[in-house]
Amino acid sequence: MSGTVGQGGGAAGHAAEAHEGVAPHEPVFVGKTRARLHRLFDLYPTKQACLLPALWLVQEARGWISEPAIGEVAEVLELTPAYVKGVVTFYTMYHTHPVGRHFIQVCTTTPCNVCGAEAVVQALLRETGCGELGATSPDGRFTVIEVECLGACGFATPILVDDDFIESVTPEKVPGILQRYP
Amino acid sequence: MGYPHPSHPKETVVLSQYFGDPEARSYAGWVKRGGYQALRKALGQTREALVEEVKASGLRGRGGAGFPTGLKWSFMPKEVVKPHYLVCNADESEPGTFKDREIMRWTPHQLIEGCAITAYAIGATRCYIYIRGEFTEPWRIMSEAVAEARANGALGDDVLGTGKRIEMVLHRGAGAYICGEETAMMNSIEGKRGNPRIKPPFPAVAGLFGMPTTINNVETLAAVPHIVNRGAEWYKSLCLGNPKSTGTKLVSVCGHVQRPGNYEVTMGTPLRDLLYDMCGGPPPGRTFKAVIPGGSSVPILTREEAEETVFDYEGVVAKGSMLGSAGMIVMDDSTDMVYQIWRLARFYAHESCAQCTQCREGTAWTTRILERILSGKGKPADFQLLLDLAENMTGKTICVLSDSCAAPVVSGIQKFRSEFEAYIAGVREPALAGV
Repeated sequence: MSGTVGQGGGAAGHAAEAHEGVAPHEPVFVGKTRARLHRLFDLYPTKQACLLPALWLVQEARGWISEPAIGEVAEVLELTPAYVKGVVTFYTMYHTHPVGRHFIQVCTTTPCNVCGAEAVVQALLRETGCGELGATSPDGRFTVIEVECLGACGFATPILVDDDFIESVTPEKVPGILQRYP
Repeated sequence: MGYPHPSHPKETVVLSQYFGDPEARSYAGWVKRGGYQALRKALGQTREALVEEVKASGLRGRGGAGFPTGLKWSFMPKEVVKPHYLVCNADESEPGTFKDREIMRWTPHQLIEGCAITAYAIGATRCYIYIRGEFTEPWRIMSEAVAEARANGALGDDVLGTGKRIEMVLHRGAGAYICGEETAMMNSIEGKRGNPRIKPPFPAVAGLFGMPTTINNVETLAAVPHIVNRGAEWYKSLCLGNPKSTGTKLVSVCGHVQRPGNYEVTMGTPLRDLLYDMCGGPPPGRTFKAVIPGGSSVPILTREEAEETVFDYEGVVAKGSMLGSAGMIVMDDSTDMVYQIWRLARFYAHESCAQCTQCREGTAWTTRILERILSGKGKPADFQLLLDLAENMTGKTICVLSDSCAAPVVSGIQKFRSEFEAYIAGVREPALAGV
């Protein structure tokens, strides 16, 4: 990973190119994504306040938030890369490294825990081939992580597969659910 | 209606009337059910009259703190000399709580109408609705509903033809329990790390973007149109004896009950009715062991205490706990209390924003000591160590996350001490591999 984050989107790309073996950064905020970013400016009185939604745009486009992307976000919102990185790392839903094609979050906090969430985790790790939490399956298809309360405690155990919120998951239902995500 | 079960005869259905009715989701469907009449009525009144009406209703914050809503609104400056903001707290993340999610999923316009009335009452023209990042379905439904409300003139520059302006912006969280704390939420909207702020200044003086701000929970705001429509006297009459707790409360019940779900009850309903009648009691062949009545941040009640509890703000306090968000976690006699208290401590350790030493260190060490006990390496001195830690974690930090971690630990040791002792004495097989 490039240790140098440039002054902006384009510059960050060039900085990354200078380091051997690092793919150049393709700017995220071009075309429609740039238009969506500009629409955000009308919703908040400061550019800084557009940071969380801008990071969501990056993750939507790229699947994760790389160092050069942090540099690009900093540039478009007139912030420093260090500041943006501080915010990115505070929130658990922003990925700071690539994840599987389908990202699975399983709730294991107390209400789900007493209803058997840990067995659901084991079934997911086994059936996806991930083996352990946070790891990506060898085919690159899945990453499974344990998360704290998903706010659907009466429908234990809820899981999130990408943006699909699935309730009342049991170990038996896991293979059928996974089939829907090639 | 009712979701996921038909409404129980012992429920008092106001906010949840259209849960499970997909037609209520659309603007037209909501209007057909009497929607947006309250907004029209409110816009014809003065701001002061609305604040007084809500004060008189006795409505208290449904997010957990139970602060009188009308009083909170009255702290906003009378004259609008700079922008005022309303923030709707839809960051529902308190373990055991899943009521705001259902309000947004089934009745998005109920919330939008409540937000619009409240924005007007506090002199705000813009409302931010902060929805936790994991709530993908409520986000989609709310986005569509806000767009529809705007297209139909219920939001925008000329709300219902009155010339008044109310804008609504949905803001997506990104995974942080602490952002449900109101000052952390404001930081998060401002594009900052979700660290709680020191109070004072209070939000009504210097809140979002430094401007006068009111933050209310989803359920609180959803109650507002009903109060405007039917009056403070009607709302106050929804009360079983204690005039300090009025209205209905959505209770989320999860864990070891036959029918988990949301139940809307009049304040003052016996907790026993909720546990045994509405939720159908424990699974076959089991008995209840413990109930956490107000979301995971409040002291644990034993079965006996829970069965005697009157479910309102004061009634739960009288039994040594708190109503909180009314997210009720029910555990039967098969539950390993030490394990589940450890799991709660781990939650708080994970969610600490790490600003305050007592919280950052306290939640982490509490978790590790409980891990030691669960792995069979606990010592008798660990009881005092946990209690000392808890004391240092209570009332000493910027927000109450640290206190929330201490509450189940202290009450757990008080009420289920023998289970800890069984691990320490080696009578019970270790539940964890070791630390």
